[in-house]
Amino acid sequence: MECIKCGKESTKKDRGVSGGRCSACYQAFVSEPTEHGLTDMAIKLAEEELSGHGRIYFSKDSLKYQLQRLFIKRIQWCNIGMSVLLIIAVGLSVMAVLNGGFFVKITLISGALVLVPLVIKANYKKFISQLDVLVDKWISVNPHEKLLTAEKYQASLGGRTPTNLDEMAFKQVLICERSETVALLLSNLFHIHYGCHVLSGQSYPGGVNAEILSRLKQNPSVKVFLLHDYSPAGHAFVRRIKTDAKWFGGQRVEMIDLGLNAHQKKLFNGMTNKQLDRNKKMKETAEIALFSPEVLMKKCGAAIKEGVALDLISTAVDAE
Amino acid sequence: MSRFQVYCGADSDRFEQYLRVGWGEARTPILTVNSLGFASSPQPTTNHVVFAFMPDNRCDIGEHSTLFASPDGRCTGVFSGKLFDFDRLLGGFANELSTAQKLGALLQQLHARHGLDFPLQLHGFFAIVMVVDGQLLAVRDAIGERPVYILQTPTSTLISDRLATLMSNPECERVINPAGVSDFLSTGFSPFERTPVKGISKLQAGVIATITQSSIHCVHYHQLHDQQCRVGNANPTETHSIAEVRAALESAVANRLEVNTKTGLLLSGGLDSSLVGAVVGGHNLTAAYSLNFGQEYRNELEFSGLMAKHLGIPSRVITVTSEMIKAKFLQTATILDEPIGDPLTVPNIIVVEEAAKEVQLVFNGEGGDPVFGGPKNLPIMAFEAYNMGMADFSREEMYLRAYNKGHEHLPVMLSKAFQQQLNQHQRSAELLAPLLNDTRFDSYLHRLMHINLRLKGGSQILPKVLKASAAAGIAVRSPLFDRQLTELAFSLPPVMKLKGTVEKYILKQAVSDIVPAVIIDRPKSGMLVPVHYWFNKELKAFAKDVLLHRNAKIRNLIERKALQNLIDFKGGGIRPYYGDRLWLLLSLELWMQAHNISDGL
Repeated sequence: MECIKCGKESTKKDRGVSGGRCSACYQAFVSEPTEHGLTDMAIKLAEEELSGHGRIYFSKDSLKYQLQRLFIKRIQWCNIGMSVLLIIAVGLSVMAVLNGGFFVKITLISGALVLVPLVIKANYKKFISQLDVLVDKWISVNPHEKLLTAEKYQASLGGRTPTNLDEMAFKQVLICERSETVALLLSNLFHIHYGCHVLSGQSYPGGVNAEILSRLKQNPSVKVFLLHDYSPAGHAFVRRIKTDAKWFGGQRVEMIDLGLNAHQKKLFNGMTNKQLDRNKKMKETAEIALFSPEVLMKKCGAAIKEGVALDLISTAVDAE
Repeated sequence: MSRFQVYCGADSDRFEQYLRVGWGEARTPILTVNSLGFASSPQPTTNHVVFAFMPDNRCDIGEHSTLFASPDGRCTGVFSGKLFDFDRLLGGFANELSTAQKLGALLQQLHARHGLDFPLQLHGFFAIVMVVDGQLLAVRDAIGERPVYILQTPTSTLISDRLATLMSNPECERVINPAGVSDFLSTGFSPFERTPVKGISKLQAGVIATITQSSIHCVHYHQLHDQQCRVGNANPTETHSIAEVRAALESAVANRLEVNTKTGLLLSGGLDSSLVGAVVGGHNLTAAYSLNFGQEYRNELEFSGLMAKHLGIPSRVITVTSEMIKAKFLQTATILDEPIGDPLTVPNIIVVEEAAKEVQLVFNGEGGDPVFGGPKNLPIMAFEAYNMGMADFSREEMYLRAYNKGHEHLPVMLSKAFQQQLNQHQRSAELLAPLLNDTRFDSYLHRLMHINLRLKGGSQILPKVLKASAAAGIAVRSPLFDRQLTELAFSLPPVMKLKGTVEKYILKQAVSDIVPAVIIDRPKSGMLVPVHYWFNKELKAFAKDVLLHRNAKIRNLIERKALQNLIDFKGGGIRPYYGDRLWLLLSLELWMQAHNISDGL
């Protein structure tokens, strides 16, 4: 495995001898390919891609999902491999039934080979389940300058009531279920790029939330966009913003639910969290953080511009 | 537009010889002042000042541009532009004096009475360079309708209203000023005193400069203030303010109309150009000229056509294609004489050339946003709403980013050598800081309007329209940049500019009876040149040929990989603005080619 600091290659044995550090520069290794399915360099490259080479803020969850996407790609390749092997095996078994002899042996071998991708897939799924722990360790050892930590959220707040706004009212707002999403959007200047204010359902950012909300309410034709997880909490959030008088309950405003919801499955195909609920029924959820910050910004920006939900955006994402 | 050159130095013969070759002796009136001593210089020397002036009958319609000298010879110089109350000002002087003598006497008298604040007494648009009582002074009008550039060399000072004139002088090194080029790459123009050319600076609007052999001392004779400095009624009612704005608009237009002159209107279909047309009146207009970029791209022809019909004048639509852009780009770089990275530059020149076929003067709606608080302030106000404390987003950085020209891309775009050179200069953000924290304005909106007016108005919009129309041989008027109108706009409370979600509120109210409601009420869309689509298709090869050419002038300034990525529309981040950034770099490259400027690396 290559050291991310000095580039020196090391074997598992080398790493064991040097206490999990690079023998040349003492940089600590975080992942072990056999245990985590990833090298440190792969994680670093994922971070670089996520941050647009140091220009875009991202969260811990963004990194987790970025790495998950790597595994999902590999799982997709496993599926393709498995399908090809399966077709070959079926073809060979037909030949074996018709001709026997040599084809029987080949059919048995190919049948056994079909199991290989299945094993690999199972491994990847195990690696995905360990990602939370791996990412926590990674960010404590290698904190990226664009990683949005809790301290940076606080720093981004400012904390004062805005004083320079005169009698300005606001035209549109994107209300997010999670404060982390708001911090991510604000840090990447979503409000500047798309001329849309951003607030969270948890009254974040604290110092300015009330002021911004009051200026939004002054505008009878305000447009309200909602962004949330695909989860019961996400649905409850939408209901709250629509009905709670503290938000827009009782007001006739244009409200557009950007998502996530069940209709947008193609946006997060293969990346949902599946868990059994109390009634032993499979519940599927998806977090908004599964989008990389760049994709989230562009999708939300285009959706706001066109006034439509995320899954209805087409080419507008790439246009200026 | 007149063209003048002023030389101050010991070798005036050489300058006059250069003028004869460059401008042609027969057409160039020259005025020479001998023996100007710079008392403040360490080694007092005797210099000659030579004023040269090239009149242009087509572009000087209604102007009073001339060389002048007071009867006693103590005040001599060159005046370019127009004074609105010219006849009244000169009325008190003896009839036997020529106009040039009266002008000299007037400026001498005003200077004696008001010192360096004397230009405040002059209402109009102008550039003046003059020697009075042994001092060499250069003046730019309050809003900046006329530019003034200054080239200082170890042995002489040259002043002109054209940057190109100074660049072509043998005393100019023709090397870039790295800081000026960086300003350009951040904003799309040169917002500050420094220009992209080494040794050449420019006067900001409302500035008078005292020029000595080794220094330029600038004083802002014209300052804008918040409403607390309002003269008379400190708390005007809305009705009263609407009437005041309407009267100021009418006065601004009346001062700029010329009798017996065929006049056109550059009509985008937006509020500003429509209201200017309405105040000018259809009876004074020959036709309206509007832009279109082809059926497949968004346009505002529905609204420009509606307004032209409302005014009762023919609507001429000029379709600008990517082929026309390609053919005209280099010529535009020559015409504009300082680089301007606004994709509307080439279309503007094409439309003005079309207008010049049937009119002698055009009115435009430039200035509505800087003077009355247009929507371009909203992103900055949105930033202000959050008081974000993250270290990499200072107000200044945000302001520069809001131009959407690629300020945030500079660290990866500029070559290492160029970045090293830049380290020796003040950064653009540092120069912006005093303006963003200007305590003369309580209202942050007023600060933004002030910056927009001083920087973008005076350094990009006004020079652009002036040079484009001059190249086409017609005169141009931008009445929304009128000084009185501007002072009035700033004196009104901010809520009259940005009321709730309505931008330019008072301006809209002031013209609500003469502009159709559909134009007043619609959101501003701006004239969007489809550069994003053009550079992704038909202009891609053009951009590649020019920017990646092995002899490209910017090859040492911009990283080749960054250029390649830009051309391939790759790696631009959240809002990449590929088309605008390619336009910006092409403007720089072709400007360096057109004026043979080297990178100095």
